[in-house]
Amino acid sequence: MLGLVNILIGGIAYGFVLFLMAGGLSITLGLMGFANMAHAALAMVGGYTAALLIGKAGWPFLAALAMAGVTAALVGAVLERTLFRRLYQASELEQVLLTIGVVYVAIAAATYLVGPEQMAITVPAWLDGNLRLGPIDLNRYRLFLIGSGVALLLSLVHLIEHTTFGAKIRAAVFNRRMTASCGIDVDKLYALAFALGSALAGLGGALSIKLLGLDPNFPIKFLTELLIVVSVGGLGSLRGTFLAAMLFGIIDVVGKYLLPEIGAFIIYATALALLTVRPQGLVGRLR
Amino acid sequence: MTEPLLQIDKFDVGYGDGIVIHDLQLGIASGGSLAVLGRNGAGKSTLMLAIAGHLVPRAGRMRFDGKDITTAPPHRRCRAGIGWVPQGREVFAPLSVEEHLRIAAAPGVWTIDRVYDLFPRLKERRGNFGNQLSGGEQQMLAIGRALVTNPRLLLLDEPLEGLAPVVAQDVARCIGEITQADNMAVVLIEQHAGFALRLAQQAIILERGVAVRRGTSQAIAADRDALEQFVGIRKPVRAA
Repeated sequence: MLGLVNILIGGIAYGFVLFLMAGGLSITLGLMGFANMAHAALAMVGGYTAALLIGKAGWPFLAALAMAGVTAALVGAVLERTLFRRLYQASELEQVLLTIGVVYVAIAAATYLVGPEQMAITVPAWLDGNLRLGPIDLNRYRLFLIGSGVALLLSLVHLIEHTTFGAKIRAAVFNRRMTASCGIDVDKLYALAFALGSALAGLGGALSIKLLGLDPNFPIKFLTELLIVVSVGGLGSLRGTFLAAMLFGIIDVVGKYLLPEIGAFIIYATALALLTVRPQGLVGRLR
Repeated sequence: MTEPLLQIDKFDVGYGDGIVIHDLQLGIASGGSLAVLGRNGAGKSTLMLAIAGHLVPRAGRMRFDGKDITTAPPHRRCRAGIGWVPQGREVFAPLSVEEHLRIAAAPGVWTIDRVYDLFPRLKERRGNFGNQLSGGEQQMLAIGRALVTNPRLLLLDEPLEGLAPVVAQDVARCIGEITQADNMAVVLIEQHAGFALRLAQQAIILERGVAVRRGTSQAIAADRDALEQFVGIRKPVRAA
């Protein structure tokens, strides 16, 4: 019984890792409707930034995390201004082709610049080890991930649903022409929103290395999971992304433990079943 | 003589291969008002889209407030003082009434509170989303959304279309109040030619994208042959 509780906690922690990485994608793909495969590459950019700053330059953990977000935002903004903005009105296929190309370039670049080996991250002492709560051992870093995930969910929901910036994005996605005629520079607004989504990718990438590891194939390994989380959650719904991340985190960890032979397959089967029954996603609406 | 607020010269506008508006000449003085009449497909809405910046002319120039805005993007035109109330209202379904006004608001005499004073109904519905409003409420919101950008020229494209008669009267009265105050210029398209001609000082009749009549609203209202031939109105029309 206690074992199962610990597995469940592991699943929840993995769910939060998924959410931390998918939160930004639910802005660029979910809200802005841009089929952004490069999101996972931006997460890798954040991961390498944090790992190298801590490992080679001796930066403190939290400062390196912040820098991971900033670097990914910059890279994302440059990509958006030079390449992606041309394809906002294009078909999803064209968007996928371009952004998946960026993923392969990123993999090659990471292999060339940093090397193909696994990269580890050292976390500070206050995040290392376990916290004993009665009979349950709680890993401090996992608790930190859960706290970060909750903070991210609350601030993103606030930003999108309760600020003028969020209202402008919702307006532009719904009716770009009318939004421009309200005096809003939609081009600039999209660039900002994309940079924000990229920053969150970088932050999520940096936070997840300790659990997921980091090598140049990181974007390909986790792209499918991220896309599943955002689409099963429902495009445009942060709460849906969060729910789906929890669901798949738990299913994946529990499934691999209980049915190790088919463990890796379970989340795909679940995604397929859920999307067959609810093509609009858990929370989303069909557009 | 001072330059008009909006000056359109030798304007050709079209979609794809076709030219919809041809060789149009138009001037609207600061605080002036113009009714645009004509049948469906005469180019009225196309003219509005071109002034708002959503269609770039094939030929010709447009000046606003002394500056050339022929190629200026829509958001710059809005900030320069052109407010657009589109046909069909185009409210944002995923935004609340209050959010519509907040995202559009720019400094000036038209504040969100003043819009609520003008349309108390919107204040009652401030938390409702765009798709939860009645047609009349949507129209008030579309007008309010344009007003809080503090335009010097307001483009009204069929503001009474599809409204119940009582609601239409109420909206028409509010449009009258708005245009009297603050020296705001107006371009109005309306199927109810009588309302348009009473509201506006000047009028123009478009037929296949060409201005076939222009003059004071009184003169156009008296020109019953032109109204019958180009607008399809047989009964007498009363201007202000």
